[in-house]
Order: sequence, then C-alpha cells, then structure tokens
Amino acid sequence: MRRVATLLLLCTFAQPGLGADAGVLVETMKQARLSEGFEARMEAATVAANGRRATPFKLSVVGQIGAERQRLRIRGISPDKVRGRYVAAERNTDGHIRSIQYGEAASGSVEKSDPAARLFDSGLVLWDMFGAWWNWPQQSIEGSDRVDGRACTLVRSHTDDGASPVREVLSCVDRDAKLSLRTQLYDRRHALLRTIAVKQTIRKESGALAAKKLSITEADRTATEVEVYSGDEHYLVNADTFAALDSSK
Amino acid sequence: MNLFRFALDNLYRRPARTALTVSAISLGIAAVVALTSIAWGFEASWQKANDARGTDLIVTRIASENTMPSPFVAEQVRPALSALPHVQQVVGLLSEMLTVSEDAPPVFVFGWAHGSYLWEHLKLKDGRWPADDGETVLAIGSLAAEMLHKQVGDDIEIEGRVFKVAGIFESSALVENGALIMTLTQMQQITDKPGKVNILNIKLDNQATDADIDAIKAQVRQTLPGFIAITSGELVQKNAVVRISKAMSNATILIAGLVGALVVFNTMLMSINERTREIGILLALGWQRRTVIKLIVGESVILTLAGGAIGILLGIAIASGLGHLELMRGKIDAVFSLPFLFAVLGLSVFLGICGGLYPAIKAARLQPSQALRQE
Repeated sequence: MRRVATLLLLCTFAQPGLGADAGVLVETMKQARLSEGFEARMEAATVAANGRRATPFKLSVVGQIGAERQRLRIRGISPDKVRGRYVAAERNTDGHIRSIQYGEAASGSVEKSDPAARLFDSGLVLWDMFGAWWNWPQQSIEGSDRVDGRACTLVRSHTDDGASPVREVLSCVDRDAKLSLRTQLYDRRHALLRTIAVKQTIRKESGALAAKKLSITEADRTATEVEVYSGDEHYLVNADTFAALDSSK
Repeated sequence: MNLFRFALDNLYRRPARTALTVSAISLGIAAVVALTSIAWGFEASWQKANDARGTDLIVTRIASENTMPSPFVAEQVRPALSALPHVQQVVGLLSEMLTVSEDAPPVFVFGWAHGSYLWEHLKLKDGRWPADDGETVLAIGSLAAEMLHKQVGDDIEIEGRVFKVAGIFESSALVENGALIMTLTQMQQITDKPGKVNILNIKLDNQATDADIDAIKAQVRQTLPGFIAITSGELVQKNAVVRISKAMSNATILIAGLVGALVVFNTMLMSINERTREIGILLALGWQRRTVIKLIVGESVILTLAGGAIGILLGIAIASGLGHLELMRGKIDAVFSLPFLFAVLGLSVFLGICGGLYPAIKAARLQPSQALRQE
C-alpha cells in the first residue's frame, strides 16, 4: 500500500522539469505558505551602497494565501512619509500579479502600481512577497549548502515567461523548517537582482518556523534590514481589507 | 597556633595565587547570583503584575508560550466563561512590545478593557484615566514616563497614531511601571486586531474555593478546545522567556560549580606539590594524617568561602547595576532571596571541600622520609 502511495506521489510530481524530490519540496513550500489570513507588522531600515541610512519605517502586511487566489495589502504605519499609504495586490491562477496603490482617505485616488517596484524606497518588493517562483513549472534541486551554519537544500526555479520581472530564483530551503534561508533572484540575463537572507527565526503557534529578521541585499549593494515585531497567524480579514483592490477591477 | 590560623598563614604566604583563585571563584559565584536573581526577578515581576490586578484565573491559548500569548477573538470564549459558576468578571487584555521613541528601547503597551477591575490596583500619580473607550489617550507608568521623558499632556506616537498622555500611574509591579496602558478598543485598533485579546482575566467571587478553581480549569479544558485556564503563576511558568532565563541560570550554576571546583583543585594540588617537604616535616613532628587533611581542606574552604562572599556581593552589584542601564530599565527587577544567598555560600564551601579533598588525601599519604628528601 505504501509503495502504491509513493508511486502515486511520484507520478503526481512527474511534470516536465520537475524532479520528484524537487516536486515534493516545492509542494511543501507551497503548502507552508497557505493562510486564510495573517498579519505582520515590521520595521525596515535601508542603508544605501554609499552608507547613507534612510529613516526606518514601519509597515503592516495583511494577506490571504490560497491555492486559487493570493492577496496582500501593505499599509505604511510610520513615519509621515509612509503613513496612510497603501499598496494592495493579488495574484491569480494564471500567475499574473495586479497591484494598486492608494491613500488613507476612502475617496482618494487609486492608481495602478508595479508589483516589481521597490516599496517605500527600500529593498522590499511586493512581487517577492507572493513567492511566485514556487508555482513555476521548472524546479530542480541543485545540491545543498549552509546558511549561517544551517544546512539547506538548493532549489533552482526557472521561468521562460518574458513578462516576469524575475526569471530565475535560487532558494536554499531548510526542509524541516519549511523556510528558505536564502533566496537569490536573477533577471533574464542571469544578473543577480537581490538576495533575501533570513537572519533570525521565530517559532509560530503551529510549531513551524517563520522569519523574524531578514536582510535584503540589492545588486547595487543597498541593504535593507527587516524585522517583524508583531504578527497574527489567525488574522480575520475584514470585508473592507481588500475593498480597494476588488473595486479597482 | 591553631589549625585555622595555620591555614590562613599558608594562604597569605602566596598572595598572588590566593588572590587569583579567589577572583576566579568570585566571578563564577557572581555570575550565578546575578543570573539567578534576574531570572527570579523576571518571573516575580510578571507574577506580581498578575496578582496585583486581582486576577484569579487566566484563559489563554494552549500553545501560548511567548511573553504575551497569541491573540484570539475574545467573544469566541467570553460568553462560555461568564456563565461558569463563581465568575464575576471576564476581562480582555491585549499587549505588545512596541517602539514608541527612537531614543528609548521598546516598551510594553497594554490594552485593558475600559472600566474593568484591572485598573483598580494602579495608583494615579498625576492626571486622569481614559474617560471612555473612544478617547485616544493613554496612561503611562512612572518609569516609562521617566524613560520616555513624558508628562501629562504630552503626545506619544504609537504605531502611527498620536495619543495624549492623560495620566501617570504607579504600580507595585515593575513590568507595569515601565508600560503604557490604553483602553482595549484603542489597542485593538492600533494593532489591527479588532476583537482580539492575548488573555482573558477572570475574577471570581469571594466564595470560590481552590476546588472551584480546579473545577473551572477542568471545565475550560473540556468545553473550550484549544484554550486553557491557568493561574497567573502557571502562566508565568509557561512563559518561554522565564523558562530560558531559568535554564540559563541553572547552566551557569553547573558550569560555575565545575570551574570553581577545578580551580580549587588545581590551586591546592600545586600548593601541595610545592609544600611536600613542609608536610613531611609536619608528619615527622607527629602530626596525624587526619590533621594534615583538615589543614589542606581548611585552606581550600577558606579560599572558596572568601570567593563566595565576594562573588555574592559582586553578583548583587552586577544585577542591581544592570537594572539601572538605559537599555534594561523597567525590564530587570532582580530578586535576592536570603536563603538562596546562603545556599550559594554553601555551594562555595562544598566546592572547597570537593576541590581540596584529593590534594589533602595525597598530602596525608606522603611518607615523611620521602617527603623530607624532596628539594
């Protein structure tokens, strides 16, 4: 019976370009991201390549990650330059990410925005938050590595979609924690766009690990340190949380 | 000359080595005293905060082990809890540790249900309490006011929203003195957790007995899956930070004990080797082997006793000093219990006996004829 189950599992993931082991790992990562509602508040501090420090800012991320639809809403908390600024985005089954930005006032204008753009002049990018590469068909295991002394499996994700701002992603996944300890994103010319590294983790109520501190290093050596200081794994998404996104269709 | 004086003179004869050994032991003991008192203080402070509020039972999520348990929707469980026998009040509490000033470390911000019994134990020093749920004001602890340089009427920005300081209060618990308190509704709004609380505080009537408390605990376990009713002491015991700090202090006791014993062992062994001829003379003069053992063990006990006493004073100074550091203010409230300090002194003596016993036996076994031949 167990052999049959294993065979079925192998058949399930025997897609072109998707090794069985890679398939299992990618599926695990996709499952680990699923959430009916979560909220995280974080502080981000960016240091430019020339050493100039930008004023740190706080933002809140509310999300719903389902198999069919994924939605995120980012709200600037402080200081004034980000306060009341919203960015919302959704990723549909076709993989397309649509994003908008708007202000606090309900009557304020809603504008289309680029999901691949830097958020609030930091290394944070909305596109990265969706982890879109886990849904790409081409996934392969490239061996193993260590990040800050922790063993991880290298997974290469690749897409031929010309519209995608990122063509290849190399993730180093801690299989037990179901967490990518280091994620390197490359463009179509295989130039490194940015590296996202987990610096500190926190155990969630479910027992799984989540990133508490992250560093995002961009191609020009601009570095953004992100620290999640509050979170809610069972966030109740209100009807109006994504109202702007829904009404802008 | 009595044996004690003799042992003391032997230690005086090698002042550098004696001082180094005493220093090593005192540092180890100081680490034990400082870490343990901080760990106990942390636990006591949380316990004191919960006890001072007059809470009899706390209802929280089973998996909650963080400083503040994970938030949950209060109305999921409040009606069932209110219906339990002897339950007078069920009051929600939401808390987070937040940065409210660039110049000060993060502070605890509490959201308490307006008009609930939770506010009653606080002593208002200046100003007033929030008038209602909708008022965007807060009350700050006296220590927080000092740390944040705030007084009544000043503004404090929390999570992008500006609150006016309505009052400054004093609490018997350090954790509350260093905190900011607003109404639960305001806290839920700024943290984007509408309707959620970290814990539900239950106040029982005066007729409730220990058996009633146990019955309520059992009923919560049976009827509210995923939730647990515990006393404030039990909640503090579950706290991950308390557990980690206790584990750290236990590890320090073990390491310091081991290192201390080895230091004494080494010192006494070297001393015996250097004094072989002297011990031979003592034995030749008619000293009993038992007396030689007493002398050597006595010397090592004097060393560890001195190290222990200095270490205790040093540990108290370190723990008290840390509490005055800007980064630690309002977070450390070291507790020094006299029985513990005597136990540490006892540990020092035990280390002296352990570390000195083998060298003492070795010295006592010397043959006077052989010992006197040694240069």
